[in-house]
Amino acid sequence: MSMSPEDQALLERFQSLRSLAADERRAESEAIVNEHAWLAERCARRFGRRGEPTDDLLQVGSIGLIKAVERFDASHGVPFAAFATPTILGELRRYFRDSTWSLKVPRRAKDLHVRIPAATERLSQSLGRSPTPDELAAELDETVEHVLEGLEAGSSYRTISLDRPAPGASGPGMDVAAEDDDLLRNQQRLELARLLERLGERERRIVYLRFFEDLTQSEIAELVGTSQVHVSRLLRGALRQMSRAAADDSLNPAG
Amino acid sequence: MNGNGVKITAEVISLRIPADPRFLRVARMAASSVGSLVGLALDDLEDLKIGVGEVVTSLLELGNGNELTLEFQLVDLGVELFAYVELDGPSEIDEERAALGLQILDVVADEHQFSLDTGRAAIWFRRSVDTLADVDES
Amino acid sequence: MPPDASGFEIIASTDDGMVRVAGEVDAATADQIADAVAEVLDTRLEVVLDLSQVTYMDSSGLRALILCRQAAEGRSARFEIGSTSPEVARLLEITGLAETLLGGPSVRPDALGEPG
Repeated sequence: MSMSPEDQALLERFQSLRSLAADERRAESEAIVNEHAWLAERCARRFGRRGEPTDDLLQVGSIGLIKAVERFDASHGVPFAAFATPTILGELRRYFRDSTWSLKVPRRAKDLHVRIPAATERLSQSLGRSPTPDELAAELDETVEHVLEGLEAGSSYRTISLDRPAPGASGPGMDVAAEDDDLLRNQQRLELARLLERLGERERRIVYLRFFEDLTQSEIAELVGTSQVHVSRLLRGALRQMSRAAADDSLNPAG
Repeated sequence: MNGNGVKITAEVISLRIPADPRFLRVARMAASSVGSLVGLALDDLEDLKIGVGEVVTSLLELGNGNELTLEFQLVDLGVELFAYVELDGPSEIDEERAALGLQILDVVADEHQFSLDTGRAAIWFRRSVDTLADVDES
Repeated sequence: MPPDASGFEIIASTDDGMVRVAGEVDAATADQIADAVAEVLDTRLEVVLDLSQVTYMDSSGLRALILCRQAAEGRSARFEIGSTSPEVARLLEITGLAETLLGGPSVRPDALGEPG
């Protein structure tokens, strides 16, 4: 893949991050994030109707951009934007997936296509993401072909059961401790943490659990002691607040 | 594999379908199967199906009875679809549906492109995995 | 109408004004929704759609829903989507149609209600 001089220069800046001192590294990665804010906005714009993207979408897009800067590996020789776009879109898509909800999940007979949702839920919790058909097949002790047929046979890919008994202490699917070891990631999270300070305690906890622990809204609802619907509303409100705070800060930078 | 790159693996799965909406389902199932070959998770597969469904629906409208060709290409942790239909006369388009279809494609695809040459309409899009956390190389 | 091989099924009940849709809604099946709704509106001034069993929907389905709402409005009838599947809900959200077709975001209060 041919790369423009600008793309190449950006890759070199990423490579050089390793050798910078902590505060220089933070400043440089923040600069890269800010230079690519347009990309996060453009991705957010794809959702909803025409017009400006909503504040909560802009904030989710920004979080996706921060994650992209965290995860990008310049040694693979691919332009940053090509990697960042699916990462940001992934964050936005997850946000929508998690916040929509259906009424009346159907009950069906115990065929394969009924066992799939429960297995999906189990695996999603332990993997921290939706499972691949191979993983589902292993879990269900079926062939991948059967699993794909079972999916086509008419079950939703994800069911949210309203009256399923509460699972045991739900822990986050992803190992956040390992990520926290990385000073770079810590520094970027400090920026978000600063914005989080503006929020009320409950909103702060919910945003933290959603984006730093990658819990689903249903899991958060159980931890916090409310409904998934309420978590969704609190989250949107919190993200809107953070967006406004970030915008105010850029107009009135501190000291 | 690491999700950073879009290295083409040079394998193409080709499908020709008659111009009948009944075959939309065939295209979607093919998309699911192809996507499962490159490690797409269920959420990604669902979006890939939706994207393929929208592409084929639009080309069916434009093509006015002509056969459609779909070419799926496996890329690094993703799938690209290139689909086209011959144009040999005016087509009846439902503009509002087309606008909705475009917006949906905008969300489920990472990138897409339309081309309208004389005699042919084509749509291309790419979708890669949404969640890269789990696909780091050891 | 009995389910076909793909599992698509649509049941229109003029008794209670409900149209229940199951299976996949695409260009092959979307028209049937409009027909079923028209059938109900011929005899009642309200129609309620049950989309909870819809496993797939695309732009053709959305277009059909919009047309149904317009048809109801044209007769001063009430149009409501009573329930959705996650697929349908997500589609309504990402296209920004949740407000117009559901009368609000697709996140619905649970059975016990929810403070505003």
